[in-house]
Amino acid sequence: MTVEITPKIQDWLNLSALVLMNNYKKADLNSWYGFDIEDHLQLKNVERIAKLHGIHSGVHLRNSLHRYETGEMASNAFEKLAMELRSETTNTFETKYNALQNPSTKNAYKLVWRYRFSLKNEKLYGYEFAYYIFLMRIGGALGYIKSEEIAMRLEDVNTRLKKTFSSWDEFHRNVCIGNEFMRGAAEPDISKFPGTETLWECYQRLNIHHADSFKEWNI
Amino acid sequence: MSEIFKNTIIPKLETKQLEAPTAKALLQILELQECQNTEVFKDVKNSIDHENNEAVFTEELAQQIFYHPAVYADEKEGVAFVISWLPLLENGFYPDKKSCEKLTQFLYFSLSYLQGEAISEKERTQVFNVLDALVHSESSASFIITSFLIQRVFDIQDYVGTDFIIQNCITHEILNGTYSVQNSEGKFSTYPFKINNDFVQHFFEGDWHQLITAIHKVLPVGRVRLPGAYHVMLPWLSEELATFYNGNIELVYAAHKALSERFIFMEEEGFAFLNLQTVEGIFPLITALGKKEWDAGDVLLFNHRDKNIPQIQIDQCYHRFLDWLKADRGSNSYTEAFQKFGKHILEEESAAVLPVEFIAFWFEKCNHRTGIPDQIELYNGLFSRFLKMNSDGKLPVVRIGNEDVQLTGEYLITEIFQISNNRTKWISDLESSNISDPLNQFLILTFYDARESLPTLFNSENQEVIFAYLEKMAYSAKQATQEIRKDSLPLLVKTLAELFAETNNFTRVNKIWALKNIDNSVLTLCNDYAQLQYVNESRPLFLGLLQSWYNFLSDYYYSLGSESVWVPHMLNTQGRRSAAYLNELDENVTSFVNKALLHLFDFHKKSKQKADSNTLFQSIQTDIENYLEDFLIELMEYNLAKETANNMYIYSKAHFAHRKTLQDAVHKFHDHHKEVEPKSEKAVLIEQLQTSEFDFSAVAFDPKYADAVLHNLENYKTEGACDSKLLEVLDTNISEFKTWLAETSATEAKFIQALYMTLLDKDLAPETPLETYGNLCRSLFVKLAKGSKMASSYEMGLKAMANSGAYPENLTTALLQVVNDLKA
Repeated sequence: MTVEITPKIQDWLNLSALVLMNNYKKADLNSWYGFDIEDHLQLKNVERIAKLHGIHSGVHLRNSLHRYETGEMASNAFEKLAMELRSETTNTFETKYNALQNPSTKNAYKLVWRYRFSLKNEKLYGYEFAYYIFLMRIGGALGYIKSEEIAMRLEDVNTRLKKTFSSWDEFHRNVCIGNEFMRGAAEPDISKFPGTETLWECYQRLNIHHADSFKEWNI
Repeated sequence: MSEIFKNTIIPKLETKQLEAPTAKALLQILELQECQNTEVFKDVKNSIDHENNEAVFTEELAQQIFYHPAVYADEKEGVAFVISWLPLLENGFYPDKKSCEKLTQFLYFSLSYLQGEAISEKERTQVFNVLDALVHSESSASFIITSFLIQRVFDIQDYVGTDFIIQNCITHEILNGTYSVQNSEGKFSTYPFKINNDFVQHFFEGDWHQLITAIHKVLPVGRVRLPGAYHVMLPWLSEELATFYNGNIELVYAAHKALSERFIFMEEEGFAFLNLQTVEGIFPLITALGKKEWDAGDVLLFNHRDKNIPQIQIDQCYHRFLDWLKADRGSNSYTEAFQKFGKHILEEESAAVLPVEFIAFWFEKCNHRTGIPDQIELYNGLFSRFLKMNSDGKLPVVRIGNEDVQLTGEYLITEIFQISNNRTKWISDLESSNISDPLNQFLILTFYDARESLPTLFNSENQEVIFAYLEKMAYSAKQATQEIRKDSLPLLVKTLAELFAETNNFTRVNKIWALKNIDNSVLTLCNDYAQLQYVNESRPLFLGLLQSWYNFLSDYYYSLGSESVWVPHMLNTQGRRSAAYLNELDENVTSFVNKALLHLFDFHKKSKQKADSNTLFQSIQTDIENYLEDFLIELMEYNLAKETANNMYIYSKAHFAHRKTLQDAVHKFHDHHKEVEPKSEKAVLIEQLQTSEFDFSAVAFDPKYADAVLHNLENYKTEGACDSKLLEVLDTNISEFKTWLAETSATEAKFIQALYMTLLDKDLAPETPLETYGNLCRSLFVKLAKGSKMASSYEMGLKAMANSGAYPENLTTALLQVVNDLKA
């Protein structure tokens, strides 16, 4: 039996709207899973995403949730580097940066340098919990987690996020920064697979089509 | 009254010289032939009427009665003559040797006449009645006629005549029972129609080979689905024949050939012949199949073996059959012989009669990567029986050598599959199909059976392969039937649980644990395994493990007790143990303990709030309390930071009122910190400063102020006190302050960082209650940063922040002002 989506729950679910949209352009933001699991193709897509995140069962799902919850996915790495960079000067940083070979490490350095002070408290929690919720929806679609449990977890995540951030904008920016930190900057790339878009592009679209859902930061 | 006897024989009788006893015999004969009213009868009767003698049938008289070659000149008369013997034969008057030989000559030449329409069915019957009587008589006629008939039966040149004799011999059961032969003393001995030395002596010149050759020649001959020579021989088959075959393997092979030709040409089995048995119970024709290379005919023969042949005699045959199946890259499985007989051989008996090598063969043929699709289907159908013999997770019983052996997984792995190490590709090959493939079910059963020795059979690298294989099989069970899931999944999980009973790899543990959702049949198994791995007092603890315990508490809580079901067990039993472990650690665990307790209190509080909605929350609450009680009683005081102790103390007062022991434990920590921690110098100073009569303008710079300010800058958010007065002290004494900072660069960096953070704090922006504090921070920041090596990067950073649009207008303006001040 699926729990009914109250406006409150919908507001909580919206914390993963951006990630959901990014993973599936036509996602239904107003449903538990975002995907129509009756639709064979959509279900395949859900299975693909779950596999991509190493989720094969309820145990895998919950272990994944732990990793996002404890900052293991992004925040811990971000904070470690930020701490290091906070005592660098522009010059010493540049020397360090130029010595780096790996483009993705370079990207991470650049990004952390930019946010080393401003995200001292928030870290990348916004990004991590957006994924946390997104994965719950994926897991729910595959029957690994019941909607009651999703609702209970959502409530606690919501409390935490609403305290950490002060607006949808701030939260969404954190999601985008986290995504960039994890995946590297989405440079304009003509070889990009047609139809895909960066999270930033998604963010813009989300605010155009669903502006009403993201006005009130309901604490 | 027989006409021919009356008209032809009687006139020729010479009665004059007959002795009285002989005459008496003649008289009886005439009576039998109903010739009482003839002259001869009267004469003979008169000649002996007054004498009272026993009748004696002499050879001479016999010839008078039976030996009339001239009669045979006309076939019709000849037949009538022979028929006329019947009443005599029935009364013991048998023809002599000479007459018999004449008779056989007549019969031989008249075979076609006898079959023709010229004589009636009745007459034909009567002729054979005569022969029947002769064969079974105790007279010299018996041997002669028997010899004649046997020669005819084995004569394959005149096929039509032979068949005629054969059919009638069978109909009238002529070559059955006994025959007689005269011995050297002139007496008649009777012998049964059984192939033995006497029989061979009598009819085949004592040469067994002659007999066997003759038999082999006639076996494939005859009319389809009609009795033939074989059926005549049936009653003769004997243990002696079997014994003879047993000593002459080459002849057995010839017999095989003859018999299989017989099957092919006549579609007739030679069941009795094939299953000849010696007195010792040996079946020579079947056992010999185990000693030769097979062809299709042998498959056919083996299929028709007696079902009571002791297994030990046919073990070798199964091996030869397997060789045949393997020959020519398995093409024999397409033959008719296999379709009609080979399959049946594999189907009819339980798999227990098959040698273990068939299992290897099965795996070779049905491997989805290397096998041929139609053969895979075929052999899976035949060999799945290896699986179905036991439902209790036991491997089948098969034949190894000449023994019934209960197979073990270890034996299969090392001897049959030979996969113990470095042949694990073989296992990976099987992954291409799923658990519905019987091979995979069998392999799962094999691993299950060998589960205790798997760690010694496979090194860790190969254990990985097994794990990957079994995990893949487990997930493929989602698409399998309920029956397969019920049968194979528990075995699979038990195998993994045994193989990885001692693992330290918790990723692996979780993967095995995760299998619980595939089917209810493994739910408990997986949970038990996870519990044993996560909560095991025989293994050392480590911080990560404690961390995961607390993490799993949240799963247990959110899933309403359906996930991480061992958490209550952990909470109720591991409190003291985890505390004892933390006490023993060399490192400082206060931060870890602080986090852990926050987590536990968090869930305790949530559970308490929801306790009314579900009894589960009530029990989680109690479980957490139990854990805390044990944990805190055991934990040494120094392992808890003062702040933690205080928070706990406050929480305890509100929530643990009903748990006296727990509260006492909490108080222990609270008291400890109250006693040991005297007020720090800093705290004294801050207290001092907060009293209003202190004159700040007169205060000179002192490093202790710097420490206090730094502490305040870093903690004003959480402590809620913004100490502007001290900041002012530094601001006014900036040059001394800077001089001092220059000597302690680490503190300088900390200061600038702390100040930088305050710049971005919206709560300190102009037009807010804390504006004064904020302004002081901005001013101090500019003074410290300006001219330093970091100045330009701060400048750029702040500018970017200010332009990002993330901050309210008043703060943006303030930030830009700081940038300008830095530049100036």
